[in-house]
Amino acid sequence: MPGIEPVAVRLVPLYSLRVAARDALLVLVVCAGAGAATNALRPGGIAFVQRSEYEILVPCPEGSGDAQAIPADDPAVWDTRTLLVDARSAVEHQRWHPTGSIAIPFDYLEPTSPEQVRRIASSGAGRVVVFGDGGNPDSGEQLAREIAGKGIRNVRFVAGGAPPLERAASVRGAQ
Amino acid sequence: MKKNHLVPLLIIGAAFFGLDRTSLAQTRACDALPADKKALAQEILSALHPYDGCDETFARCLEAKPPKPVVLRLTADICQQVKAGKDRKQIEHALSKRAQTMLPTGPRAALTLDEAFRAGAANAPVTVVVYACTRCPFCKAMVPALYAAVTDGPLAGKVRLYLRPFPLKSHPGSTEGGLALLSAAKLGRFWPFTLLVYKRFDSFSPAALPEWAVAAGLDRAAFERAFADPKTRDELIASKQEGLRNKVTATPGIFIDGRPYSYELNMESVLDVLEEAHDAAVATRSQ
Repeated sequence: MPGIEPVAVRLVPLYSLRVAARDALLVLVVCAGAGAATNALRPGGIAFVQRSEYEILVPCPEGSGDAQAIPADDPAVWDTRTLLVDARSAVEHQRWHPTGSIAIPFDYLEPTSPEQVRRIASSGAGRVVVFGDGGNPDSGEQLAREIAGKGIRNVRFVAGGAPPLERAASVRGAQ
Repeated sequence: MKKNHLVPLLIIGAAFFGLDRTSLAQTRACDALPADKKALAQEILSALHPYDGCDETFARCLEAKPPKPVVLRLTADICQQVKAGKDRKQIEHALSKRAQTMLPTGPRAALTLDEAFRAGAANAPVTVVVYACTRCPFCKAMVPALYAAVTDGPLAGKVRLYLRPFPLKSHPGSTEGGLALLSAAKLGRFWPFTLLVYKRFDSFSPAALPEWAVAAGLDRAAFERAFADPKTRDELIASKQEGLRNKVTATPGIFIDGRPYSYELNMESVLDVLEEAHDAAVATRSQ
């Protein structure tokens, strides 16, 4: 191009590669030697080979999610878009349960099966309300937290469990 | 020229080494902190108050001759945290969590103290209860270490340890592990079996438990009977329910004299807090 002179660029090494490698090695040896000497002299120096297992400890969580309590007489419990889940034993479910509720007996030791979780997920309900025995701990609350932890959204549990729910159901029936 | 270029290289190397040497400084006392961290420790000690032993700031409390043991203990803890790289806000938060663990606020947890599950002296003034899962890696590290500390270590005669099975659903085999612990307890070999289960943590399988029971000095047939007994399962459920009532959401869940431990979850901190609990218990008794 007119007006611009091509310039030949030539990299000039400050010193040869061999000398650079030697110097790097020298620095490495000096630093490592000084470090090792300091480590050897100070009390409680770091061991070159770990003698005991490293403690990388994280508490093991139960794996439950968030679920809020809801009063038995809350209209949302009885809403048609609500899926009621009975966490009590099969015997208790047989004795009484609200119409349309499904039984998923809660086990304190074994996890709720993926099939049961899928059953809830595929119900299409806009809200899941779990009720249990109302004890301390309440099986309904425990199941609600467990299924919330497995990805089910908008999960509640009936405060006090089945007893207040049964009372609320009879009041609604009388009305 | 060749000699001159060595100088900056050596300076750079020395600078890197200097940084390394600073970060490697390891002593337990505040005095051994490097200058920048010592300044932070001084700032914290001049501003914060210990939750026990003295009403002034740490700095003032340390001027007492001699300072209260709890003040010295907490000061050392603060300096450890400064050394670990925590800032003032984090240390303040940690101190408040330690206070929650130590101060008698709120009702104490209702805990079952079954002697079959005890380690350490029966008359030790401090009681620690640990909810543990046999398949929890943290429990694998902490439970044997606590056992060693209370039976033959610095907490011997000071602290008695009770273990409560708390099988976690997220851990395969945790139910079988919990049933096995209860079976061993029924047969009077709880701790030898429990320590073996944690020692062989990486080769755990429910099928191996009867063999491990034999290795721990148990009769295989008796172990298998206890394991299959529905009452054992009921007891395991009861143990887990007790933990849930006490708001245990993870293992290890630690309670010191009925108060939930909410401080740093590492062995050094747990042991330090237990020493503090012992000192407090002894001081209370002597009053």
